[in-house]
Amino acid sequence: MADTEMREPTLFILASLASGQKHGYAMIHDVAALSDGRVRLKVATLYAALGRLGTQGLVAPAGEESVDGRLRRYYALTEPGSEALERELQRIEANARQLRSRLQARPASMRAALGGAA
Amino acid sequence: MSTLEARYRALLRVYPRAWRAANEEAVLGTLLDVADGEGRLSPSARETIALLGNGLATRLGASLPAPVRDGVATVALATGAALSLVFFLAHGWAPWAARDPMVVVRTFGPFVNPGVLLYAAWLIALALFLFGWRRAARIALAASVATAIGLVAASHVTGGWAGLSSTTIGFLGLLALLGLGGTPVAPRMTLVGFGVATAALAGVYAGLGVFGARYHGDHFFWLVPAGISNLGIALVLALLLASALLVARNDTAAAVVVIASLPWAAAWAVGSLTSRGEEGMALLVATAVCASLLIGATTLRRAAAVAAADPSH
Repeated sequence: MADTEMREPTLFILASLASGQKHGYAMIHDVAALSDGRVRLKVATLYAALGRLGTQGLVAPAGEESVDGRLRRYYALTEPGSEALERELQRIEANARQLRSRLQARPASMRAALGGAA
Repeated sequence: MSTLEARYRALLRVYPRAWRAANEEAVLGTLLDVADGEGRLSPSARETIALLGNGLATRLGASLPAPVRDGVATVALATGAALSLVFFLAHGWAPWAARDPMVVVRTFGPFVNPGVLLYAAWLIALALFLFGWRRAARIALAASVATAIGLVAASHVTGGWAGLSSTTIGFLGLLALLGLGGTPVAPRMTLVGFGVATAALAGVYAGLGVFGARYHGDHFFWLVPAGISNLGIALVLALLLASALLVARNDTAAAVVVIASLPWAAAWAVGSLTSRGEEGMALLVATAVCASLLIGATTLRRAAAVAAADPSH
């Protein structure tokens, strides 16, 4: 599991819970803010991901409360969840470094040629 | 209860009962919060589709454990792609049979019939999966189902064309559905399965002279190498294998063998219905297929009982 690439919503859910336990609606808001509005989680997708992450032991329910007759269930990041997020971020950073090195190594002649054509 | 809440509760009925008992109130609370936040009085289309899709997936996951679905998807993708490659060469293109009068009727450009569209969708799905683009591979498999349906419709409208039997279309359609039901396991294992299946089928075809000057339509496959007698024997062997796996307490592998055999059982049933005078063999294999389904059901019940006893599920 540790070597499998995380899908974007999963990554954002774990990152959202890293700053403290949250209920579903708060997570949807937080993920939208974290991604500049790019990742808009659907409720069904969120709970499917939370179920999967719960089975993997990466998140855990952290209490419930009733607000205006609506149930709010809080979730928290577990220690293995925190480690999994750290591993995934290291993988992304390593990839970004590798890719950037290629971009920086781009021959000056190619840059000049394309720059001139543009 | 508000109308919105009632509509959400109705949608949530798609999920299995056990899931609803554990999660319905929390999910409903979030759905209502989101609707309030967006100022909506009815479920959005995007949300409805997500609830229906996830609900059905949860139901499938509850009745068929993921390792079984993934194993079946692996077998389905490997065999479907192998059949597509060999069928494309032997029945869709057959460049070596250019002088056969049958092939003068090339109804689809340089190809014998539009079946090449179906074969192409399968081979694209396999390639995408091997490159790690799983979602794109699923889209290609879904496209193969749409293509299969389109070919049936087009065949009715145009009055048919040379080849591409309905058994091939239906069979590849069933395989695609099994492939979509799970995620094929490792690309390497899928590639090995594809290689073995392609080599075996190409070997059988070479032995039967399919790659010769005379053109054979794809119905040849269902009449000779996968004729009802051979299919019957293969299904009995699959049943024996599943029984041996059950005895060895490998329920997952047994269920994979049984479910992956279902399209072949369906092809056998079609073959038996369309032929006559095979009552003895038909009875034998019908018994085998029924026993397979029984073993499958028993295995799944046992797997479900194990899952129910596990508090993490």
